Amino acid sequence: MAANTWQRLLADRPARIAGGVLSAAAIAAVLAPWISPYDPTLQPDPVALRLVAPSWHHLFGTDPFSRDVLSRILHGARVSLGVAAGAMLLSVTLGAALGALAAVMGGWVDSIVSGLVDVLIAMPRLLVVIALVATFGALSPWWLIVLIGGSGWLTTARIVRAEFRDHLQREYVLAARALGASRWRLVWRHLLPAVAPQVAVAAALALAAVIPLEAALSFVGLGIQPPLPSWGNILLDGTDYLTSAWWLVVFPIAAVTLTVGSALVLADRLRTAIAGEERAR
Amino acid sequence: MTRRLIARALHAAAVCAVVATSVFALLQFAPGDPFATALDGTDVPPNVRAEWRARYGFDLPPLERFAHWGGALVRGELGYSASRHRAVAEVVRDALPRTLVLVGAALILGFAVGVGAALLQVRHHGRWQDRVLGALTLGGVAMPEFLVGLLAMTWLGARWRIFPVAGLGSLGDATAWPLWERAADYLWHLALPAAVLALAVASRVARHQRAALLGVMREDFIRTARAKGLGEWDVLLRHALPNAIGPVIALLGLALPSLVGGAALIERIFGWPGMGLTLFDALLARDYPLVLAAVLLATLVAVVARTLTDLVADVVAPRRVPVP
Repeated sequence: MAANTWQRLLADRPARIAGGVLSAAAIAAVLAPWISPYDPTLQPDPVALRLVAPSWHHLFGTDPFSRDVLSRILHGARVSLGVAAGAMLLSVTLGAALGALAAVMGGWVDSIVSGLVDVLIAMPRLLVVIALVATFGALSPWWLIVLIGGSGWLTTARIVRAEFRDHLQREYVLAARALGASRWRLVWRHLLPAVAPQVAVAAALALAAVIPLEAALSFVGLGIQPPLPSWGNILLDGTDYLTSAWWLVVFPIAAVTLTVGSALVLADRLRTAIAGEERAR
Repeated sequence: MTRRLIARALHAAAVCAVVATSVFALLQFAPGDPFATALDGTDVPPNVRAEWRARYGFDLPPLERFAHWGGALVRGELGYSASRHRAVAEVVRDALPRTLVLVGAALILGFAVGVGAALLQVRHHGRWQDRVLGALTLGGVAMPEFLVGLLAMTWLGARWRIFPVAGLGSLGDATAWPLWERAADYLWHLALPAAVLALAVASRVARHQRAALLGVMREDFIRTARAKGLGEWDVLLRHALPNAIGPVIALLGLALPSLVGGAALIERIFGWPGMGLTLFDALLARDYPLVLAAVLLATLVAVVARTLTDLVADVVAPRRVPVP
């Protein structure tokens, strides 16, 4: 069933476009050192090349330190998308594991996990993460991944738990049990593949939540620290020149919006594909 | 209904207790205290440093401080803000209403606009109105609030100078102005930050409301309503909307924590001196009682608002429609 859902998704044009944008962003991030026109931290001439408007020499212009904005955005993608991907993987793995555990074990395990999710989901995640990062001072990107990822598993856990409980009621699970499959074989061989599309929806939503979070943290000066570029701190550099240098804010904003929008479209179309597959069965 | 209310209140209390305990516990690992920059590393004698710390209770062991702080919290006292030289409760009394005004205005405006957009989309399902609004609402969801705020401030505020870029009101002796002028000035300053937040709310509401409406439009009672000769707008407003709005209100409640977080950034960008701005200032000053109070109150606002939306959803929705 899951295989057909993926085929449906591949046949869907908005999903292909969104997937293409995300892949392009990922490839640009990986290849940044080779495709960037300049060194992102190089300050060739802070007087003559300061705040140059976009031109053929500097497609996205230059910043107050005469650094090339395109190169900084490409290298920033490495950092921003790297942190986002890491945090997304962490939160989805954590969420899927806890959600599956709650559904399969039931009883007090389920009560604890569900109770925890109910309580924690009411917290404003952004504020808590900001408060923590601000208190502990400048964190390395690895700690950001742990903090952002560790605070984002709730939605995934909810989705996976609900899906698992739904599938546990179905006949194929009963059949597998009747044939003597153990609980964990059931989870690995049957349930996880069956709910994989839903986990992918959760992953896309997690990505869409995590990219702005990193950008917001770096934007208030708490996330990625200069000279390492990230989309958020490029924006921060631009806030002092709002009236004179639009390219400092518009390009990082476009980068964030495009990637987040693509992740959202992907989640949306995947959901439609899942619903279509359920109806077709 | 009473049982639901009690359950909700217990839930809210549990959330606040967990947030209070965990944030307090984590802050114990934090380096420094409000006196670190003023006293440490200077030639202030050690006994004077110790005396100042003792005066504000920073020399006590963490558990004892937690007991003090938690006990005071239960009595409704939030402690003393060393960076503002005032009781935290006083700081909160000034800042919290401003945040409530901002978030409240954004919620009401955003909800109305979002539902309106969804109605238009469903009325013209599949045509250009639907597509244009669909693209706009996708953009509104994809672009984080603080980025919209930055763009709005750049163009509407700094470049074209249509709206003020910061603060609660114009400088000058505002108390001498007539009341309506002061009100207009306040609204003029509120307009941009509230509109930016409202845009985020409207986009989310519109996307959910459109899906919910389209789900309801397939049902038999809609065909009945059409068959008895009702116009399409009557069908939408009197039959489809009441059956599709409940889950959207409930979903809005779920989105509230992130709205409160977004509002904090908007406050920072627009210099709106509410709880969000207070939090950032307190973090810079390592003023932990104020940090704790700000995080706790933000959580409380989110929880209370969510409880309210749940209750409204129960009252408004005759039955629950599963959201696609």
